[in-house]
Amino acid sequence: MTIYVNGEKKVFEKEQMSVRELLDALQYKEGFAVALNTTFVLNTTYETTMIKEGDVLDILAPVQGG
Amino acid sequence: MSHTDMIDTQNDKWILEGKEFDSRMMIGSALYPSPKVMKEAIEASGAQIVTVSLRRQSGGDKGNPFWKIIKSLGVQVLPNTAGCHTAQEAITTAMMAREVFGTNWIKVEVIGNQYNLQPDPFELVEATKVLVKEGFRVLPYTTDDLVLAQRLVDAGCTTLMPWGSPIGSGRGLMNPYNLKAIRKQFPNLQLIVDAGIGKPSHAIQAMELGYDGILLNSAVALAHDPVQMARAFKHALTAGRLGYKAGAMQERDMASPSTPTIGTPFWHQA
Repeated sequence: MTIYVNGEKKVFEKEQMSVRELLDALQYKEGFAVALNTTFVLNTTYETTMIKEGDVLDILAPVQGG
Repeated sequence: MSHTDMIDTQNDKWILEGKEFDSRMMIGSALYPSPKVMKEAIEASGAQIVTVSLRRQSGGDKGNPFWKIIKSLGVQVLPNTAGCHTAQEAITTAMMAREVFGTNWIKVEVIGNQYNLQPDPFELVEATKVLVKEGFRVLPYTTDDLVLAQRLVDAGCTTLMPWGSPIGSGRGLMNPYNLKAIRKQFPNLQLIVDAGIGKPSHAIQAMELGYDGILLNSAVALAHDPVQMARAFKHALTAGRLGYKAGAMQERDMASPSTPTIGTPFWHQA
């Protein structure tokens, strides 16, 4: 399947995967939050939230702000 | 700071959103020449509330040096929703921020105009309504519009952050009349001038209007010497606050001599 992570196209052999599987595959460890198709995904639901073809993920981390 | 000054500030704790602070300054963490200068400037400012944000991160990043520095300061973080243009974007960003930063405080910022980065009042109120219901302490970045202020209070805000002038402009308080009107209409709200502060004198002016605090970033970060400027703002806030509490004299149209007129020597004698 093809998905978009932080604006970048990513291709995976699997047709479906959980948010947790994706985060592990991309080596995200800690200090971030996830939105799937612009909706927040609570970190306790990473295992049960499934990603499918065409989904858009944003993975955000702390930066400087005013 | 002298012993007398310390007593003045100790007797004037700032209770904001249920927490107690010694400083009435919120300071931003952006635009500094280096992380080291950012840390030193924040420390020099005495601020105990620091604004932060969220942006996309690549996988496999080794730690987050910026976040480590902020955590080491032991301050209250105030995440913002900078860059959001709709209520839904702000709501999603706020929820992500709550999880990452571990606080339910959120500076809700919904931009409606790219030219002056003016808040979109309609989307701001909509986002605020939802986030208050979701348990957030919403500190909205707003214009100095009195009716909008009422709408935000109706939505559940106990703190408002009207702009002094556009973000990053350093133009100071464009409309003191409107800011004063908000202060007068909402005597029990916590009011913070957010955006547009460029010089310590602007901060003094805001505090003299009876505002409870200020939020600044560019004024310190873009100064030739950010650490020195942070220190200057610290003193400005104290001066403005003490001046406000002391009660300024009434302005007069005519001059009035301060030196006694009784006993004036020979040149005015008939």
